[in-house]
Amino acid sequence: MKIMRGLCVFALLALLGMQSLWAINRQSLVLATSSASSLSPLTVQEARKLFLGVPLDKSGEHPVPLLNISDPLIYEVFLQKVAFMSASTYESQMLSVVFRLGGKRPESFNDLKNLLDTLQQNPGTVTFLWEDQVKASQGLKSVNVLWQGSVE
Amino acid sequence: MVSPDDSATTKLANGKLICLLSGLLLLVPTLTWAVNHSGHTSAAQSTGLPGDLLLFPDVTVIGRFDQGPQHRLAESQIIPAINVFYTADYGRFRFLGEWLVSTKTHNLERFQLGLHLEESSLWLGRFHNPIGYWNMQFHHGGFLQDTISRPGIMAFETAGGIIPNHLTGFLWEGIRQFDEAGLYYTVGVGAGPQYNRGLEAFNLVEPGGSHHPGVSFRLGYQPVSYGVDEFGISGAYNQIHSDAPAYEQVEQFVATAYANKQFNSLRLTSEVVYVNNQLDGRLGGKASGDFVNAYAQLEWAFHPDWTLIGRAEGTMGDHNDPYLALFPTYVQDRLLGGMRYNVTHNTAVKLELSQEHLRDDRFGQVMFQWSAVFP
Repeated sequence: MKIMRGLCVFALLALLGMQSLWAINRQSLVLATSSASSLSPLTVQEARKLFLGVPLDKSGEHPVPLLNISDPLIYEVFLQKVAFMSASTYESQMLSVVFRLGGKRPESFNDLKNLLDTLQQNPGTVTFLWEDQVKASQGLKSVNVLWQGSVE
Repeated sequence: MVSPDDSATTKLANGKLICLLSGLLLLVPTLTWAVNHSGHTSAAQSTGLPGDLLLFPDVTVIGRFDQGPQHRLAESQIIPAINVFYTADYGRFRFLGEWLVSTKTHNLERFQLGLHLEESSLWLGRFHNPIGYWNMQFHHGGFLQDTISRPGIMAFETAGGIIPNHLTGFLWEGIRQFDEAGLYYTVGVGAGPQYNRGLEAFNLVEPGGSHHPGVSFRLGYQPVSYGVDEFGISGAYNQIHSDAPAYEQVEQFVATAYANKQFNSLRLTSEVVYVNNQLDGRLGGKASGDFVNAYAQLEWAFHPDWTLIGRAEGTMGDHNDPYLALFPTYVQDRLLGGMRYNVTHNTAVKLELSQEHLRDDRFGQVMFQWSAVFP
């Protein structure tokens, strides 16, 4: 009986531990913009088009995408969950779309501070960030969640 | 017949062209270095232009062996080229221009003014004919395509191609979104090419000649819109004025069906093209003929930087075709193997070996190409 009780307590603790670990790894990829922006939420398909260089008219607003390559993990999640393609395919598709249809390739930022400064100073611009990064940055807000899940 | 004066003028013009090309090719690495050291990459900020500027330089080396005695093509060639592309938006309007300069040709390939209409765009100007998949997808951006050569059926007008690659007039195109999927549609109407020892598209810089109308469309289903996979059809009707001694006009119908699919590291590009021609003789007679061409290209990206390529092309029903008789360098059949290596994210080298079958010749060909895109 004592052994059974001990096993139950161990299982409960293990479950709680896994849950908190899962909670720690659970991340939200959000579309972020300046607090001064009045941009409406974008669907994942709209965000995907925008980051492929296709101009978007959202209730009269023309959001300008900024490509966040400051962190390999966030870029990989964007490629897998929003763009649905590998890095090399994304680069060639973006080039191909602009070459065929016109438009403009998004500016790429490998420095996070530079990206956040540009985002804050230009209300029409959008990028993808972790939700925590948006909460920790003044002058930014989340437009909508693009993806939610645990990052391995 | 070329007079000595003409010859001297041509040599001078070619010399100037080569100087210009060399200057542009030297400018490109400098521009790239500047861009890569500017903290973040941005076409607009690096060039100071409001739109997107793309430079596609390439150098192609060709070697041919076992050609027949009539020897239509040079045994070896080195062709440097640069394609300058620029696009910019002004509110609901868009500009798009593409200028190609090489030692073989120089032309304003595209010059389009567009108006955004919800999900579509209406263009006015000179544009890529939406016939077939390959023609609009790759065109002059050598870096964008994994092979060096184009399928024979999609060869450029200036390279002895048999299908009009460019139209000058109106183009309407767009993508209708259905959740993740997209339906790509386009219709083009405009002045087509004329025939004078080969097809000659309408030239915006030096307009002239007799260019009759052409119309074409393409409809493609994309399981993921703006993605790699696409399945579709296209069609065209062209009236081609001819300066050939025997014929004064050609009426041409083209219909195509294509399928492009990526399976992990494998990519298949394939197309079947049906061509029907009615030729009006100068003495009142008529001739006609039709044929079918098909190509399939398989690419295997076995490493992020390495791609192995194989392509087979073939034409059926081409025997004694009166229209094809006007195009002696048309590649009727080809078996090709090649490799692409991405040296950096924006430069690549490619090698291609092929067996080419023209109307009355069969020979081997080796091609090497360095290509890039900047910035």
